[in-house]
Amino acid sequence: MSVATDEPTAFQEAAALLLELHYLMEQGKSETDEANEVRDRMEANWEKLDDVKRARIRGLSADLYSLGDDSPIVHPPGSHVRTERASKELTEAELREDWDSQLEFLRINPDEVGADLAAYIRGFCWTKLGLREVGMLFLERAAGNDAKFRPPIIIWMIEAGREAEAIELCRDVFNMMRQFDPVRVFTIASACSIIATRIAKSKEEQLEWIDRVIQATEYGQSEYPNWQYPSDLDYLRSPGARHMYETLAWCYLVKGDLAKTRRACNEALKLAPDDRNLKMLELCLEKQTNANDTDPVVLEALGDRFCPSPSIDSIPLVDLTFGITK
Amino acid sequence: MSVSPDWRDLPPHLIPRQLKMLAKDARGDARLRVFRHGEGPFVDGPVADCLMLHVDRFDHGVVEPSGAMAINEYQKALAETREDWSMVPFDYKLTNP
Repeated sequence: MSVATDEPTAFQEAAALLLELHYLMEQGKSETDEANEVRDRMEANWEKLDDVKRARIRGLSADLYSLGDDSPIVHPPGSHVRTERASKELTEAELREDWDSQLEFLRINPDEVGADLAAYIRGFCWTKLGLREVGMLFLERAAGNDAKFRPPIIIWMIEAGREAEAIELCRDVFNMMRQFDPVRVFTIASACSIIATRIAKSKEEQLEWIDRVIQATEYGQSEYPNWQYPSDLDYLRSPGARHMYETLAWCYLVKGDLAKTRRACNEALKLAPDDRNLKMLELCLEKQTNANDTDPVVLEALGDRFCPSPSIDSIPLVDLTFGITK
Repeated sequence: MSVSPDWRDLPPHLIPRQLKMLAKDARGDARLRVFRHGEGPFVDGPVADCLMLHVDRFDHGVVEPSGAMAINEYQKALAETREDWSMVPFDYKLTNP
């Protein structure tokens, strides 16, 4: 029998202690009773970790140094992979969801990946490995230096409960979406949909964010055919795109545009013909069509169904294997 | 008493932080020093009179009593190995402590 709890795992505890020690060291307090008390707790915790988790904590210790000025891991400036090898290995590791290998590649080959991209990949991987706070440290470093890393961070901010910051950032990136590639624009749309359904306080606010979902998704779709995607993966045919079409369909339905709802729903069904949420969407659409009801669907009735992709799992990293800069 | 086959196998919080250019994970107090004992392989076996090395993981072992003894006898046996330990000659001032 297993019991789900909110208790941090030994690994999360180890990471939290390491982070605490890192902050103390950053403040020049490494040789203090306070820091050594943290080290004592790390010693007690170390015994609870298996070999894989110990290797991760060692890696994290090294990675945290990369946020400072005096790091043993030195990347060149920029947001690009600099060799074919780095592009290939990072992409392959990402596709097999091997976060440890990506992190290790960056540690061993720092000169092959620009500092901002390295920070982004680290943030992504550490989040995937269950360390959200650690992940955000790296993600915010990347986003602070390069705007193209901002869209995915909104969703992580929401997941971390930083809703006001997320809304502000989402407004900013929505206004600058024409600077981004289509997959990032879809990420903006996804963030807008989460704000519409989970955070917006009034119906007017919800509709405002739904308009943004539609605008961002339509813009992303219009740009997608002209975009040279840097790998063989066709995002619009990938499972993640099903969520995008489904969200778009719900938005059109809320706005009362039944023809567009049908088109988006059909695109989603092509990718997931047996999906239960899509069947429910079809029923709603059918009901609206038969009733010839011009009133838009009541927002409240949609509930959680409206936003089927609020998870960080829906954010693709593969779009970050940008063109190679030699 | 816990020991490791290589100083790099120590947990990060026990590796003096100024060695981070040699071990990227080093997070220990800069006043720590690393000591080495003997040249033999890191395998189960006698270490000194009344003391055994028991390897429990690839990166960790315990210097333990070779038989039942009082705690003060064990501590005395450990203390008697003092001259056999040498400080690993790093430049501990690689960075400002």
